[in-house]
Amino acid sequence: MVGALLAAFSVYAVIDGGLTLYLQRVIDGATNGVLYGMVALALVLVFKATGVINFAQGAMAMVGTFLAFTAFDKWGLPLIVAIIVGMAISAVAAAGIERTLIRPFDPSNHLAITIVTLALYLAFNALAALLWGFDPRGFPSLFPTGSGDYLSIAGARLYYTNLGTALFVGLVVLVLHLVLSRARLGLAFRCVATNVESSRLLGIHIGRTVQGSWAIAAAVGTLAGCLAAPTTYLDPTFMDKILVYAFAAATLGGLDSIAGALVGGVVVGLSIALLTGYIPVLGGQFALGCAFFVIIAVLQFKPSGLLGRRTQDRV
Amino acid sequence: MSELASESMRQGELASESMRQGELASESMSQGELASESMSQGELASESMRQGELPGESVTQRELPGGSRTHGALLELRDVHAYYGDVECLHGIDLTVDQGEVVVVLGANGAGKTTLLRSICRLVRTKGDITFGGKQIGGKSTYDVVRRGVSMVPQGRGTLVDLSVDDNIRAGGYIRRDKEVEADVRYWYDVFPRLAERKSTSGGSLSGGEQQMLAIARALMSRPTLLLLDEPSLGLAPIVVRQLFDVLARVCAERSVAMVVVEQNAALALDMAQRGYVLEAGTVAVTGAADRLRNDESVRRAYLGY
Amino acid sequence: MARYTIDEGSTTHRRLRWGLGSLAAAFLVVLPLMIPSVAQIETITQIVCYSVAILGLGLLTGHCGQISLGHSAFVGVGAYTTIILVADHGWPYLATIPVSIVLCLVAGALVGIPALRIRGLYLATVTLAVAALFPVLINQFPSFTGGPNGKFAAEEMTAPDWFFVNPYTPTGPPTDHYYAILVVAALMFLIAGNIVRSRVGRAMHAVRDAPLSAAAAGVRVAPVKIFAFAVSAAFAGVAGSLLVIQVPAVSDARFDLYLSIFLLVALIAGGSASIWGAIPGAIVFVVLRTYIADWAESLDLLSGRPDGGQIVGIMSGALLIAFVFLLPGGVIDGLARLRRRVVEIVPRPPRDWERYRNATPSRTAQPAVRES
Repeated sequence: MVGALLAAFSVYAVIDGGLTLYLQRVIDGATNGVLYGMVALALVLVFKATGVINFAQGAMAMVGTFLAFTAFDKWGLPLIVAIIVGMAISAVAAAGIERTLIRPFDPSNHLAITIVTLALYLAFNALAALLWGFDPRGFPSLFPTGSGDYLSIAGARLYYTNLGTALFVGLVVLVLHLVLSRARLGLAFRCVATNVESSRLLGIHIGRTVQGSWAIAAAVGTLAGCLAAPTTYLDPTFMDKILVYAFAAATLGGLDSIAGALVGGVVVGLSIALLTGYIPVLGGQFALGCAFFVIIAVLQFKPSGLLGRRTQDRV
Repeated sequence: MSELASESMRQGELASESMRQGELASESMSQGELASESMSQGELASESMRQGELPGESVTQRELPGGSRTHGALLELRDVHAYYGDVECLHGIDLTVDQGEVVVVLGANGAGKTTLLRSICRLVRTKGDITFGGKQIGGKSTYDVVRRGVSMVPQGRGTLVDLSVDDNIRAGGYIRRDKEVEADVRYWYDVFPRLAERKSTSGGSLSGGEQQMLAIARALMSRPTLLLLDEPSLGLAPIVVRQLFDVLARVCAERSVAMVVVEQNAALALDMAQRGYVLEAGTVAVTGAADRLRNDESVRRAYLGY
Repeated sequence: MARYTIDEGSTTHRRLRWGLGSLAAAFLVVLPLMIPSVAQIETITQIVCYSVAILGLGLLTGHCGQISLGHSAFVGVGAYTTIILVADHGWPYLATIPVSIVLCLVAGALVGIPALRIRGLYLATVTLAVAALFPVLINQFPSFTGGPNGKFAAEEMTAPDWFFVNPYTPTGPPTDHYYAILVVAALMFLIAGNIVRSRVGRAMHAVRDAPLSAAAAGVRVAPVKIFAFAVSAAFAGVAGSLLVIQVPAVSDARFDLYLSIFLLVALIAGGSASIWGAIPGAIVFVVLRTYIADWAESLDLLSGRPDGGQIVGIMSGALLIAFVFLLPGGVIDGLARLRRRVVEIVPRPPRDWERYRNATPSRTAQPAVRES
């Protein structure tokens, strides 16, 4: 049914605005979508390991992006190196945060941990505003951004930036997948995500595993920030909107599925681009509302998300 | 409390004294004598007489012949108290397990059997001495204890439901980095061919018996010297239980793994075990050799219900 | 430990409670008359307003275990309802409160409906979207809401002539507002107290502590959550209306995500388990948002840049973490602990307990091993 609806909408859209416009909107939506998906990925990593949504994920990514920007702008490092430096610092900082502010709590005390992440959100946003101010800065892109740097698909422009972003995200997902399925840390991570007490009995250090997931999530978040920043501007609030979409994506994907996060991101990105593009009443302002309604609609039919695992709890 | 401690200390000295002088043989005695005479060697006899903690009721720990030993004890608990929050659940437990020995822990619901196992692998807060392989582990974390060779099959089997059967078994060998992990994985598939058939399905989709096989394989993958089993027969058909116990007995004998088994199915467990402890309300009420325990009239009547 | 012990429900206990209650009430009534400064009266009034919003959030978070980041939107709905009805339709201020309540009940239930599907804290993600959406919605309908320019009512609320406060002194009108707001707030606390002690209140506690066991015991979890969301939103709406009664002007920027987070900070700081935690919580809220910002700016830490807000952000974050670590029960729990040092109140035994007194399970079923 959803497919039929989508097909009907596509036909309407093509008739309404022509194929080129339609393709263009799909490309833009999908590119934004993979970025949302990447932040959602970071959320899912932490969620799987701790059962908690890290509300500070976006703020941490924002600070990481600022660090990368500083490394590029002030220290004169090449952009790619600067981004790696930003990712590394974020990872170390996140590991430290986990150790000092998260681990002291009983892992089942989700409310307390959630509140700590909200506190971090406040503190990081304020700190970034203090350190870097609210002047928007242009963040350079890793990819050529000239006006001619695009592939033409039936008239629609697929910019190298879009392509590069998608490739990067694909690479990250691949690496994460390999780490999770092959590496020792990955095995520990999956054990902890499934059953904390059993994992403890297997000799897995719960704290260090969770710490690892925080570090990886922070690095992924920072990379997403660095990829997203060129399309917006860099200021202390630039991740806020992306974070809301990422929440939508993660919830859509089921919160515990890495592939789901990515799919959720693309769905959110596409729905925003298409709905706001073709239904004039909605207008650009309503992107947020679209995301919200998409979540609710999907959850109405698939409560555990698109790719989430149906959980069964025991009393 | 301190008075009580010194009291039992004094008795302990007396008991060990009597060991040295009298050389009491471990012959069978009437039950009346059993209660007051200690058969154990050394200081462990110090706990032969203990007052129960329940007001108005005294539980006397008795030792039947073939009780605790200390020579080369693999695991030794002395006066262990365990706490959930502020609530004390074990009130001074003494227990020893020898290398390769099978010890069964019996008792009614709420007697503290599970807590006892959780104390050994450091999942609850405890006070008192717990030594494993001659080293104090009382203050260590589960992480350390597992690395020293303790493994536990928790109640409810602790299956990692999202992981495949194969990953579940490999997760059991998480602490090992040696080359024989692969060989061990194959060994367990040989022991439990059912698991090999369902290698790539998720752990959560297995039946209860299969999950218990998986739990045992997972626990033994770390090549422990001490295996703690919490109610392995829970919810399983008798025939499956029998098979599992046979495998356990065989493997543990082959590899000289000591076991502490908490069981409700007392007859079955006593068949497999060499010695047993009966817990009541957080204290050891009776200990002794398994066949003695099985035949002990009062133990049978009081705890086993037949 | 405690110096005195009092039996719950005894005459002394009742006298103590009524005495302290009337003392507090008298204090609140006399308070504005003792203060000569308009600004301070306004600060106190703000505390009262926000305490209602925090109270509502407390019903949801503290008593039902759900986090909401959307309460800024509900406060906003209440505030806009009042201002629109007053400014465009000439309603009296107080008459708009029931309308706010109804609208927020509906809005809260709508936001809570995903609760039928989503479990645990995931609902927080939906509420976050609500908070982000509200200012957008406001700006979308400027003819109605005034858009980014905000909306004003020409006339402040005035007290009837018979009221004892002289309206022609500078402190007169703010004092009037204070009393009106105080009465409404007191009513809301009364309602909250009754909800918490009621059957549905117990169901909320059950959902908070053990959702599965609650369901197994026959509590319909999703309707209870939706109820908690709706009621909580209604309280926030009332707080919004009260804010407009105090200052008849609103703008979209006041009801952003930050307001939600600050409400949550205040709730945790005040204490979420007791409805009275809303009062210290509101004090923390107002002190953080007004005094600390002013103070930080007056320090001129950053050579003239208007960074007071950032200092507040950092301090709030630090405060929140400090509270969760050191005093998870909030100020109200700290006060209760202090009180217990002086007076211990011995809880009343359950009714008819004498009947069960001798029926405690005996241990005869499992005789202890005794020496023969």
